[in-house]
Amino acid sequence: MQSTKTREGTEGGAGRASRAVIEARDLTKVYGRGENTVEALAGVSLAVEAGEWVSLIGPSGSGKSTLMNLLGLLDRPTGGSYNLGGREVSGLRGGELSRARRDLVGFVFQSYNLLPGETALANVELPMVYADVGRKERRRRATEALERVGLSGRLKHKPTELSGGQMQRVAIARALVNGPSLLLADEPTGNLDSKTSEEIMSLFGELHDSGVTIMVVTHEAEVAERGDRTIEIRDGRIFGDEGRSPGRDVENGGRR
Amino acid sequence: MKILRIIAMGLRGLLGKPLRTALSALGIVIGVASVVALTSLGNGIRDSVSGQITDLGPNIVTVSPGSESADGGGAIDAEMVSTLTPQDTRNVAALPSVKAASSNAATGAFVDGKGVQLSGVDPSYDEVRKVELASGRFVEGGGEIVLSHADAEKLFGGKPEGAVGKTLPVGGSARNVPEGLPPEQAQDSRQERPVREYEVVGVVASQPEGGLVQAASAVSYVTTADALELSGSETVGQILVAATGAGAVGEAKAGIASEIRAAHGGQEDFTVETQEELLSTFSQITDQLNVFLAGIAGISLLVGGIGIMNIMLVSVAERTREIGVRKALGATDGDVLLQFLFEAVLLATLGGLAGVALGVGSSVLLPVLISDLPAAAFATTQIALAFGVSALIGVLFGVVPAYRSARLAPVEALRRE
Repeated sequence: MQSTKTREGTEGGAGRASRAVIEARDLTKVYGRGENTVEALAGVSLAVEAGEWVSLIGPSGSGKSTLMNLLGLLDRPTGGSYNLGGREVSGLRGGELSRARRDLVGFVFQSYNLLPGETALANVELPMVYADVGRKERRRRATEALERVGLSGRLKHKPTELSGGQMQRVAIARALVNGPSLLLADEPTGNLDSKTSEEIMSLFGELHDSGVTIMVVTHEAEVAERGDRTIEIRDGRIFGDEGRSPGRDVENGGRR
Repeated sequence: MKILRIIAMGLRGLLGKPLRTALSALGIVIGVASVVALTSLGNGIRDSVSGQITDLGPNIVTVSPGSESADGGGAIDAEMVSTLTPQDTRNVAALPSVKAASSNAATGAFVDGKGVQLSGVDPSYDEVRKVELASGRFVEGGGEIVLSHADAEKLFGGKPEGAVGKTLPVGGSARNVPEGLPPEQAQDSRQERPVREYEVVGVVASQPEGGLVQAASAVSYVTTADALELSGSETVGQILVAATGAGAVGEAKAGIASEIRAAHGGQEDFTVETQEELLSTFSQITDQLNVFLAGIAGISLLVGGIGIMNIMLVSVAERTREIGVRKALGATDGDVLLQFLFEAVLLATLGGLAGVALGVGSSVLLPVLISDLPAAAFATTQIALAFGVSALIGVLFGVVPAYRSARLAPVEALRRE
């Protein structure tokens, strides 16, 4: 249960660089210009290895969402360097950034963010449309992904015909379909009841067991505890980084 | 091809959201339809006005009483005392450049006790200006009358076809019966001439209402001599002349002028006007109509364009979140732009075509429903302009805001509800 301030704390990870999915160094994000600037991230360095399940926690306004956006390539850092899946991505912009996002990150949102007019299958195919995958291949992989999340019977259903848990499963299938280096989930159970939440977290557990690198942003302690590492953000910095959550088997978390 | 995949996806998106698609297209449909309908109907009105003038015939020369230079104004002056006689008409008709000539002596009369406007004309009138008859023939001699369609209805109780062959008592008054005066009053004060029996030999075909031609077709015809007897006058109000051809109009005009001048002892107490001169008087009206129509087209285009702008802006604003989702899933700005461009082009094209169809359809239908409205005339350039401008506005306002949303960082776009 060591709690390390990790601005320089990831140096130890350098020896295992080949296994690192995320290597961020001194990431900063400043909003606004001139005098009215807000420093949302004051310099965050962190390393996440392949297969890890990291929970990102912190109070509102802590910079937790900002960090998630930077790590998910939804936004660009003001400063610092960021290596994702072996690629230096902090300098990317425009189309290159979009393509890196497409290839490296799979998103799961609190409000699912499925396209309402499209079927589950079409929603899952969407990232592959942008990856320029052929029609048959798209169909095959989307069907597989939906089977993987337990929705093989709901391929042609539209989001309005699905329950919240089912919509989130579609979103997870969509996030996985391009084989991302990182599955990034923002409050994935925030809109779900506790039973459905448990089902979704079990699904994350299965994905974790199959080697998917997962980062879950949450403010719910039960959700955070499911991961094998919890990073807490406060005031734009990493406040705590617990290698393994309480209650988790030491051997299981021992991979770090 | 990725482009085709994105286009196919855009198409599926449009079809998958039929209501939104229809509403977006509706702005363009209405914009284009209103421009097309308004300009086409307006063109129809303009063409109808100038058509009615041309319909009088290209070879027509009219001789009216009064000198054009007398008061500097137009020759058509109701108060002018006419000096034109049936003899003038006969002289004019004998000219080599003249095909036919007819007097026109207008008078009021009482037919079967009812006030009727009569035109006293020569049998050759039918050659100068074709009179369409519903039944029977044109007047050829004294004691014959050709009833206007309205008069025949008035006199024979809605059965104008049965009028031919019947006889009617016709009595004149010293002066024309003023229009609108109740027949009883007019009868009391003005019926001075003896009543004679006239045979109805023909009925004029009914004309569409509201035109200039209608005024001419609303009168009943008798011979010039009968009309002069009824009115007690010796002069005719007008001489209508048909030249032998369009090229002979100038020669006819000069010949007519010198012929009548000679007969009137060298006095220029009449005016000879060709159809062209008459037309130029009316061209001012059509010019103003044209300016008016351009104004209508411009305003319709503006209103239609603003409508299109609105609906496209709202539609794109609604989809900012969708744009954010697509970008989060790896769409580039170009991918998003391509999809919205394709959607906007398709919407604008289909909406524009539907608008043209609706505009053309309503322009055809409205004159049928509203009998006073002349048939629409379609100008392809105006239709193309309406289509082009509306489509351009639709595409521009479908794509520019979409592009702005696409350039937002995905987090920004995702934050919008």
